[in-house]
Amino acid sequence: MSSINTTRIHNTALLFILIAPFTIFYYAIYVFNPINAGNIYLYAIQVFADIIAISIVSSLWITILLDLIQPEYHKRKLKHDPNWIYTKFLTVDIYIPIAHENFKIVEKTITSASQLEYPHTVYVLDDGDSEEVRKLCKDLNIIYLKRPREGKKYAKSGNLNFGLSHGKGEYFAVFDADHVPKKQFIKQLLPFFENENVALVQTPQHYSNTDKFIPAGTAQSQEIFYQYVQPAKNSYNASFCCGTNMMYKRSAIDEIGGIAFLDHSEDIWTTILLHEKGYESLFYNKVLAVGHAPETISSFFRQQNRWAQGGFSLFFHHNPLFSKNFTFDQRLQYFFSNLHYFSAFSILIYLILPIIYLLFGIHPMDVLHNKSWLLHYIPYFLTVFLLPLFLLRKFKLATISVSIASFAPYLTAFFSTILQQNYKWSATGSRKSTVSPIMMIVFPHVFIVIISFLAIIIGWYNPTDLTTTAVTSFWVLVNAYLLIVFLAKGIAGEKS
Amino acid sequence: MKNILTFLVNSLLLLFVAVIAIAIATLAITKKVNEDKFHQSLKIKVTVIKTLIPVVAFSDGVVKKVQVTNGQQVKKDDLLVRLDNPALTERISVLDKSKNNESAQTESNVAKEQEKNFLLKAPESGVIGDIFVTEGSPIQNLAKVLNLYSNKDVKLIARATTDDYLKIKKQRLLQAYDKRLDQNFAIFTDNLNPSESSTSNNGDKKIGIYFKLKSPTDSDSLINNEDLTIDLDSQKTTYTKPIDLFINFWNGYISK
Repeated sequence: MSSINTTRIHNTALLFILIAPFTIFYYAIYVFNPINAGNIYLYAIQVFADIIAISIVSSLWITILLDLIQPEYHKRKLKHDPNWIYTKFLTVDIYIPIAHENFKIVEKTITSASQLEYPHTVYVLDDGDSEEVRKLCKDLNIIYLKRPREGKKYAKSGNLNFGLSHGKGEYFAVFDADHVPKKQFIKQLLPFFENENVALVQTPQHYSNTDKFIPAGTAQSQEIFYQYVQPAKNSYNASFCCGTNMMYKRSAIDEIGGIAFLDHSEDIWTTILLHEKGYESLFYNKVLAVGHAPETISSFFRQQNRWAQGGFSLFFHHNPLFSKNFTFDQRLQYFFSNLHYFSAFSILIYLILPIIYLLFGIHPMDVLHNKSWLLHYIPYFLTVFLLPLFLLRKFKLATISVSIASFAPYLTAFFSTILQQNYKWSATGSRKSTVSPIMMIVFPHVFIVIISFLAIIIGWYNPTDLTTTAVTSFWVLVNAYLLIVFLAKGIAGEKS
Repeated sequence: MKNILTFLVNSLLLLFVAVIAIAIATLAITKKVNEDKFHQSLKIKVTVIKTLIPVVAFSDGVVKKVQVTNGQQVKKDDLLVRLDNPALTERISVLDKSKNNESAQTESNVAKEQEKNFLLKAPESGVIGDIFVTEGSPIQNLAKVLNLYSNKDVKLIARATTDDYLKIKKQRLLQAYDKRLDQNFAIFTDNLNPSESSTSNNGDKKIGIYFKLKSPTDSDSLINNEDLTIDLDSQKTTYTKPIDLFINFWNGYISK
């Protein structure tokens, strides 16, 4: 019997986890004290941004810390006997939902799925009606299913449920078209289902194309999630499905009426329904499938938008904080996950406030009479910046750049959620995606870059306060640089 | 065809975004230049505040002679007012006659000691303010004789908006002009006085700023409650930081 491995946290990171509350508190007593307010409207905006940012950092902090201080005997112990799967005859299905993806990518996934160790049946669920895929399936002797045209609803979840109506296996795995499973996938995950209550085993999303700029950034920004947050959520039985590279227990899914019927984020909804029924989920921190992260700005934004829509729709329409059947820990953990997407507001506000200062000389804080703002801000900034650095050991430029740039898809997701508009789903890297002009989606970034440079020129015309102007200019330049790198690399990727 | 259309849409959007950005920037720079022009023609009134020292009589009597006039400069220990008490003088002369009587001698010494209080001297150098007595008039013990405005620790106070304060603070030394004397005085900012804050009619919040004279001897020629003016336009920076060179160059460049 083995228990789940959680990655140990390094000592420097541990130190920062201990220091973080103090620096955050030190910053908060300065910012949330209205006596330090400068321009009152900007101050309100700043407080809003800081509340979000501090909540997100604190939620990460609480998750990791609680996991850290939790005694070993209190963590979940699950049976894991590799031989159990051979003592019984277990039927396993594999579903590969595809829709217009590049054939070369799909081919690799389907081939690897058919070669997994342990007997299994592969179902290719084609929403794209591709002749090449049909032929490939015929050659590999794989079941090829195509939804009837009139029943095409609910994108991926509709497709999966259509597949479920054909497959009869006791357990099933799902792979997105661009996630290539490793041979031992089933052999490693299936033994967990010896625990009667486990309905979901999820493995991390790992990307192979990290030599490219955007995938490198996406991969690293997800690393905190997969290395620290998901394993920590394991302790509270709150780790959730990430859409691909996971195995479900069929009877549990049948009990909740199939995969949740939604246009986006059916993964997390399904997990919530499972948890509400009292089933357990598990995150197994071992890379068992290698995926393909979006390389172009448009596909990256679409992916982020989809994820963010999931987060926001959960927050506004089915807030896990008020879910009846959850334990307190589960409520909190789901809530923390939802919070992440609100960071878009903070990012946008942090990008714009320094520009406003340079242009109009108004500042949310009273920087003229109280010089201590740097004193309060620097330790806070260092903690927030260095905490992920120490957790990840190294920090790539791409990660920061990509994280900053993703405020745009988050915000569009936010507005489409509250306005109840459905964003048209299309797959990561699918061929249809390159049609719309790039400026349609990056205009906020371009605007910020242009106005940044203008602001620096104007800011140095008779600056009222030299220190603040110098610090602000530096900050604006750094932000502009990060956005430029994102745009340059992204647009270059878009063309190739 | 599709590529050309995409390119066109991209360029149009880029142009649109750039135009909006430039419009906002133009708005900002116009606001800044206008504010700057307004400030440059700004004159700030500075009021001289001298410490008021009341000079008090320490004995009953009559005012024999007032040695000073209103507005006169006096140095420390200069004689200001001479008092007289005929009763006391006579008593001393009577007591002095009985030289052998020891108690009479002691009494006479006490009276002489009191006589010293007849001479009122300047406790600090300064300017004579109001004189409350006239020659020959009776005076009581502890009655106020005159006001002296001390030349020590002269303060100057101005009320200015925060923006003006920043402009003032940039200069290490300022020249304050006195119209009465047609003379400039070098002053520097001392500290702020929040209790002097006030809100003017048009809603601008003003703060009290204290100045000090660079050379304390300048205070001799200033009168209490006198108004000086700082003309921000005519101020010359006494020294230039490297960053100021850059800013001056830049401001000149933009103002063109």
